Amino acid sequence: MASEVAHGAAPKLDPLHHFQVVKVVPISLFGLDLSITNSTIWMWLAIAALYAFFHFAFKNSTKVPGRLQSVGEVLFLFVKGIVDSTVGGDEAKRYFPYIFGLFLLVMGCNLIGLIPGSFTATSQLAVTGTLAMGVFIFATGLGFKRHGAHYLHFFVPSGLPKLLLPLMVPIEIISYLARPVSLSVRLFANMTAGHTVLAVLFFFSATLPWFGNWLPFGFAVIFTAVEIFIGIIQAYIFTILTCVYINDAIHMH
Amino acid sequence: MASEKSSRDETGSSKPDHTGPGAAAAGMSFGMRMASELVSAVMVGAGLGYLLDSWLETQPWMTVVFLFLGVAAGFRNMYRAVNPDNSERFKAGQ
Repeated sequence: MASEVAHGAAPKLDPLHHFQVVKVVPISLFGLDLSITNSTIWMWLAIAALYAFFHFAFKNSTKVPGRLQSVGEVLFLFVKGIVDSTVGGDEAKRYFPYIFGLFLLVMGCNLIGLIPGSFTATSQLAVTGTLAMGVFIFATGLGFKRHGAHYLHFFVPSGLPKLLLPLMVPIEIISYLARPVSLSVRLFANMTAGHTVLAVLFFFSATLPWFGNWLPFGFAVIFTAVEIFIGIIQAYIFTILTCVYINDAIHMH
Repeated sequence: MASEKSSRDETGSSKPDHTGPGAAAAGMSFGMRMASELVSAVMVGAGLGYLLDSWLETQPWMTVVFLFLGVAAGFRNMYRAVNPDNSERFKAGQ
């Protein structure tokens, strides 16, 4: 908040300014901080935009889809293809709503964050960490529910000499525990890095004199296109890794 | 969307073989993915070792041991990420 005051005097390079979480409606319940922040609001807006999109896309659905309807169908079939190819079979159908919802939420937050002046909820480690922990707990719970204690064999690689077990089992456990961390850090790092670069480029184009400002501006325009792709790809990677983890829990390779 | 789909396999690893913003984004995502696989396992290993240390009061040995185990797990995760089919088998020596 203090940096907003400093903006008045001279332009100051502060590319991390737009990652600041600001409380809009402070709420405190039983000592818990449940305030509505700008992050919450933009996440809601992303969900609302997705809801409106699917509402209008399938409002008058026809056999030969119109423009909006085809985009909706492409999204649906895209995620269905991922789920079918990684999890597969009838199992896939049961977890499809969860996976599709996750994909849409991540993609919606990534893309709506590209609107200038908006806030990217997925650039907060708390948000991505919560999503990743949800996936992790869900997949682990599913594995134990499906296989019982046998699921612990997951940590013992097959065909390994007995002598190496004391070394490999801790490594496998760490590698398993690293899943939610890498899942959340990847999404958060991609979003934060991309938006920081955009902020720096736009700052340069706003402060350089007329003969230089078009260069960073051009880069910023190109990089915005790259960011759109990154937003979609990151949602895709998040989804596909969720499928891989669920598949591991069901089939235990 | 079709452009980056074609260049990626099922685990999100990719070999950018064309140009344009889609390829740049795919390459950046791939690099970021590898980095996060390695770094997160090291972080988890070191954190686990630190917790074990404060629990068993064996400073600093568990942190050191688990840091190295974390590095190994990170490389294992990276190997898994680029080589999904062959990751769970130790074919050598069987």
